[in-house]
Order: sequence, then C-alpha cells, then structure tokens
Amino acid sequence: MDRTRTVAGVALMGIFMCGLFTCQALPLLAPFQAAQEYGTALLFLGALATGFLFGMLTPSIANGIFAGFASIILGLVLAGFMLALPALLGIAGQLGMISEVAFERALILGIMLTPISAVGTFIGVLAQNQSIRTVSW
Amino acid sequence: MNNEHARRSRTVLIIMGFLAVCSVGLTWSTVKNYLGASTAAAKFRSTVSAVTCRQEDSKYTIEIDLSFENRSEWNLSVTAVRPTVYLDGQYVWGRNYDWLSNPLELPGGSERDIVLEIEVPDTKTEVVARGKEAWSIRVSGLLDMPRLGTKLFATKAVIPLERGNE
Repeated sequence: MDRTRTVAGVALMGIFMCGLFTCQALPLLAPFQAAQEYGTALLFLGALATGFLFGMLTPSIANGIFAGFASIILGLVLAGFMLALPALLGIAGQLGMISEVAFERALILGIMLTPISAVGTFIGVLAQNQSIRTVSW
Repeated sequence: MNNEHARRSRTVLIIMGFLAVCSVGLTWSTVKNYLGASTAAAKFRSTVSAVTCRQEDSKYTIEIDLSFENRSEWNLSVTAVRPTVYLDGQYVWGRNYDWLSNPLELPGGSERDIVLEIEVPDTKTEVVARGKEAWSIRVSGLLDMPRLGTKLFATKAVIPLERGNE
C-alpha cells in the first residue's frame, strides 16, 4: 500500500516538476509574469515542496529522498519531451530546437535540486513525527 | 494511529494531485505558446543559390550566394554564419562570420541575399584544382528570435560549380 502511494506520489510530483522545468526553460513563453521572472526560484521551492510532501507521505527518510529524486528525474524527462515537441512534430524547419546546452543545464539543475528536495524530506519527516507526538499526547 | 497515517497520506496525495493539475495547466499554456513560436520560427529559411570559384594568382576564392527568407511576422536577426565547403566529399575549408555586434537584420516578411567569401589556403589549392564538380556546401548559423532566444539553423546544398576566371 505504501509503495503504491509512493509511486502515485512520484508520478504526480513528476508532472508538477515538469511544469516548473518547462517554465524555467522557456521563461518568455510562460503565461504568468511570476513564472517569467522567478522561474528558477519557483523550481527550487517546488523541489523543497516535493521533498516535504514525500517526507509527510513515506515513513522513512531514505524512501522520501529517493522518491524526491525520482520525481525530479521524471519531471526532467517530461520537460525534455515538451521541449523536443516541435522537432518531434516536424514543425521546426531548419532550426535546431533541441540544444545540448539546455540538456546540460537541466541535468545540473536536477543534480542541484536533489539535496534541496532531501532538505524538504527531512522537514516533512520532522513535521510528521511532530504531528504523531501531538496525536499520541 | 494507522487511521491517522492513512488520513495524512490521503491528504498529501490530494495536495500532490492539486499541484499536478495546476502544473498541467501551466505546462499546456507554455507549450502552446512554444509550439506557436516554433511554427513562426519555421517560416525562416536560408538557401544556398550559387557557388562560384575564382582563381587569382594561383589563389582560389569560393563565393557562396546565400539567401535568407523570413516569412514570419517577427523581426529576426542572424548573428553568426559559418559556411563550410566540401569537394568530392572531402572537407575543403570553412569560415566564421561573426555579426554579433552588428547582426544581419531580417524584418518580418523580408528576403535578403548575401555573398560569403572563403579564401582557400595554399594547402588546399591542390584539392580544389584536382576536384570535380561535386561541390557541397553546408551553412550553419545562429538566429536570434524574440521570445525563443538564439537558435541554431543549418542548410545543406549540392550545387554545380560556376568556375570563374580560371
């Protein structure tokens, strides 16, 4: 049951991270001014929130960190697919829409976001333990 | 205790679902703009129309006629171009044109023709002299686009050579 919930959580948070990665990669095409100006900050907050929610969902810190990492990777893969859509649909013409730099930047961001997500997991687990203690008392 | 855990898990999953739904809307909106911008970007075209080889004092100069066509509504600019010449499948030479400080402007709906010159170095004159007419040209460059940033474009052409004053 826990594993099913974790897998569902990874899928949902992967979709969530995909939106943030896409906005961060294409800031001028994002629909909101905030997403245009604070795309990277939103991404970091998103990773923290992802870790926190996994900390609340899973009983162990290791599972939470792994689930956060899996969500970030899933988000990156989905965002990569979104960015490659013009090339995949054949509407890019002579232009190269997929750049290696964007891929490398996304990879670096993914590596940077994992520890942030881990911090979120610690906070989540602490909050979970706190709430258990409050209920027990 | 178990009930408490299950209830909390359900709440967390509901929050995750809400965030995912919001994110789908955000992604959809951004990707729709992205596809629109890409469709407009695809209306840019570069074509190699002719290649001429001139010989002056045993030095060869290759001239490439390149035309840019911008059928989109956007004002685009080309910031760099690199033509590369191959003869009988063998690399001859290339040259970088860097126009970053003074980009080649392409207003919406405009066309522009330019001539790129490549001076063949002494080490390659033999290749050009011995070569047949199977010339192929590859032109790559950087296109600066509003909202999408800088994008790489590339065009290839196999063109019959016009030998100049040989």
